[in-house]
Amino acid sequence: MSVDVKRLGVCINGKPIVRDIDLHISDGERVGLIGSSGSGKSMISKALLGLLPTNAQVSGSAMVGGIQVVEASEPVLASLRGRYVGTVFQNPASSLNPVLSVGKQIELPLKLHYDLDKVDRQARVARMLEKVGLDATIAKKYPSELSGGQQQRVGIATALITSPRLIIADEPTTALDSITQRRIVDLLVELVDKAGASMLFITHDFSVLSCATTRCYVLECGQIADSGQTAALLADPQANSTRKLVDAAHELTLQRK
Amino acid sequence: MTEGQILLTGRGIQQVFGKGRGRQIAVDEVNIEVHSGQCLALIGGSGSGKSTLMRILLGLDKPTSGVVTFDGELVEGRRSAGYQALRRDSSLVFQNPFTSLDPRWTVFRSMAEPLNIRLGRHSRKNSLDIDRKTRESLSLVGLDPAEFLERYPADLSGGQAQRVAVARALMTDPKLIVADEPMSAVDVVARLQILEALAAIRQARPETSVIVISHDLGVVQRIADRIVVLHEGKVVESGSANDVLNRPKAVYTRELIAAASL
Repeated sequence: MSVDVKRLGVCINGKPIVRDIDLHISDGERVGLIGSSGSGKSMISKALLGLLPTNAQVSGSAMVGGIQVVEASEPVLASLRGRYVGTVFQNPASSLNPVLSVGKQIELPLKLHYDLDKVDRQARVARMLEKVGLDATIAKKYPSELSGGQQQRVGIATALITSPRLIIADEPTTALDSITQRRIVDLLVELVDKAGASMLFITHDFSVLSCATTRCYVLECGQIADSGQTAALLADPQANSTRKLVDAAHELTLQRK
Repeated sequence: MTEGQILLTGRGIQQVFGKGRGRQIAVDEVNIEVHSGQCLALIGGSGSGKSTLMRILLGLDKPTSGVVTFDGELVEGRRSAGYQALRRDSSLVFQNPFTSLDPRWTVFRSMAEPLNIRLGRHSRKNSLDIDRKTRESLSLVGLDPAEFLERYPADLSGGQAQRVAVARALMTDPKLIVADEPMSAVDVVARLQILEALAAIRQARPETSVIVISHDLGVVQRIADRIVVLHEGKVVESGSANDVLNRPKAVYTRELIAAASL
């Protein structure tokens, strides 16, 4: 599913948080949004999902699929989120419902948005668990019984169970340790590509971005400061804000003799 | 680097949680030592036992078996000489600066608090000393006192807030600073600033030992002298940072290295 954002602005209590955002994601493309903390990354993803706080004023245009999400009604947005857009959040421990078993959790979007019988739903959940590399026995467990990596796999399964056409992943690996981080990114990329879906991947870390996306936008102080092929920006950053992030990624990458 | 005196040791540390079928060995027969002036990185993924081990080394938890010493004294229970010395001569930096700094206190008040408690603020001399020290520590971590002393945590970025936490840890002139995942809650640019702050401290105070707990080898490569790799409660590898990073022996270390490379 394609995303087309034109001159998007978000103000909260009159204070501009993001301004003049132009962003495009083609069908089946994996695009990154990178910036340091406070640059407005999450605000953009929330605007696309229609999940901004009620005191936010939105201007401009944001087309997700064929739907204008700026000023769309809540039922339209709910249906969009439920059927066509899957979201993977930063902290799986707080995005999963602690009193719902893993199986029920993954099944819930199907129950709410699709007219399928129980047997069919459970078969889909079982297939999904296998796809994200989790054992079938995990369906009966609760989030607190899982490791961070397993929880994030459940988060991905929940986001993908409705076969969404767009995945929004907002810092999906930041809360995980470095080995688990790499595995989760690889898994997400594999599943998104297999499904032919599009992805918006949000992060502050160029090394994660280079595994997850082909093209990216660099955000600074609420505005797009740079954009281009991820590999090209990483190899030869021109804009100041890009260079700052790329240098940091290189410094924090293991240098071996 | 010449090795300083041994400051902290853990011998045969084991920590077992639960009983029967739920029995879990969180830390298994770990031996560890930290010399003065040394920076030791304790590396491992989630659930490797890093934090459990740290709590034991700081005397906050009693291990199932094993012995901890600090500055030559046994750390055993809150009345032991070793525990008292640890409390006096060690400081902690936590993962999330915004939950470890009081949101209603200015940077100055948060930083001054450890010394206010220790010295009391009643004498004018003490209060001048505390003022001076606050400025020194803040400058050392790369923050301008004139700009930051009167700010509140809400007006700081993640990297600034974490550097305030590091500066606060310096206020009592500790022999040991323990930083538990100090860089994982902030973005990459802030991570570099925190690394620079730690490096500046080591240069200004070469006697101070630092333990950094992390899951990321890329993050600690610039500051660690020694690296201990923990996996499923066991030390799978330990040695000089140079050896561990360039000639890793354990399979798990190699996985960590692969994950930290671009």
